[in-house]
Amino acid sequence: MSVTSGAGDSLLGENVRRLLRQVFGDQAVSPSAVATPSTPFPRRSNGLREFWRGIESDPGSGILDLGSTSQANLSFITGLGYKLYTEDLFRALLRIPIADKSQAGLSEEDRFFRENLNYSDGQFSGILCWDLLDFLAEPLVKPLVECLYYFLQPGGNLLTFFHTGTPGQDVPVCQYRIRSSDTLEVSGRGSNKLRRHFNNRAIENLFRKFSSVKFYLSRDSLREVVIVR
Amino acid sequence: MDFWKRKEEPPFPLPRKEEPPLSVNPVKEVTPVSTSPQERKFEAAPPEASRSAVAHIGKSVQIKGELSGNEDLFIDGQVEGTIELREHNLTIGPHGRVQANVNAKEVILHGSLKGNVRAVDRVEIRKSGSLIGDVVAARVVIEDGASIKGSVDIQKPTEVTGKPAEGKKHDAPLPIPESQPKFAPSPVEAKKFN
Repeated sequence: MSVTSGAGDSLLGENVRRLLRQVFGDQAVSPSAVATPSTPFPRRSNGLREFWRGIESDPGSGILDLGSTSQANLSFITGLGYKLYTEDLFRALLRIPIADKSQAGLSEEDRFFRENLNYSDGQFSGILCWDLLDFLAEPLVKPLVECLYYFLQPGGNLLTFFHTGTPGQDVPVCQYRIRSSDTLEVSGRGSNKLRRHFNNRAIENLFRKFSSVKFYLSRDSLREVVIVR
Repeated sequence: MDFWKRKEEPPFPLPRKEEPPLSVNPVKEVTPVSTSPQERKFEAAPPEASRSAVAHIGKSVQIKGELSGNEDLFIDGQVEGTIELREHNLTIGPHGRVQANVNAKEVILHGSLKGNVRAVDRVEIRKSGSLIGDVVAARVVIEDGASIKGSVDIQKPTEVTGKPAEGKKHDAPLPIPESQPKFAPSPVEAKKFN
């Protein structure tokens, strides 16, 4: 005997959409628009491996994680002896009102960085940026890259991911949990629109100030880039 | 035949002295029941004792100033200032809103805490918990959904001294002993492209 639950499904869908709006703000798209990984899956990351290889083993140096906090990242990074700094910039970004996000003026931009990235020069030997730059409003991208440059020690590493989709495309927003030095566990946090498409030249231009930019291609639609100050 | 008739039981049995009718003497019925209250008292004792061992700040309570003590503390209200419970545990309940530097043996966070935390043992941030500040502890446990904005420094219990963690945005970072072990799988210098 089959039971049709169209009303129940629509109610459930509405509840999920409401939950996504609460978590990710109004910019979160409907869950049906893009498939987000419902269960965490492992993903090999050569970029992450190179990131750890390139970091100087300076006692007590800091690693800045710009993704959402997870026990896995905390345990792995502190297990290596580093001090972990966490700033969930994606969540902070969603707290900015939409009107300000679309036309984030200088004052709004300043306020954003003052509240969320108040660190000293050369404080970190590594920064995990994940795929944050794909979702940032245009006025915030270059200032953020500038900030990250100053926060890194000379020779420090920055790990970023870039989606290969087109601007406006819905892509899953993921949480990246470090399982080992070259393996991530990826779990979905919802979805969001890509703000722009970075090709390799655009990425090199964006990080022109840095001393090197290395690309690591993967089978999925995510490019890994390790940038060295 | 009379002999056999004598041996027959009387038509109305005499009441036994040992077994009086229940309705006659209600006091004797109470006697076995009287043991059960003792058991109840025994069961009720541990919660009473544990409640008295944990100081409780309720939802509607607001405190400003220095809080210190020699017993575990549960905060479900609002506290602003400093909290010193060196050898004891602090639990911030789901309604707790604390804006203070905390020094305790163990900190469990269900609500929100704005301030630096130093725990001799561990800091546990549950999924409803949010922490803005720096943590120095021997162990840190974060549940999925919990949020932290600040630094996490894992130090052995002997290294965690009495002072609360000093924040990056407030003061200079804490000095870390150089003997701290580091993992360096194969240190390779970053290649530079010109």
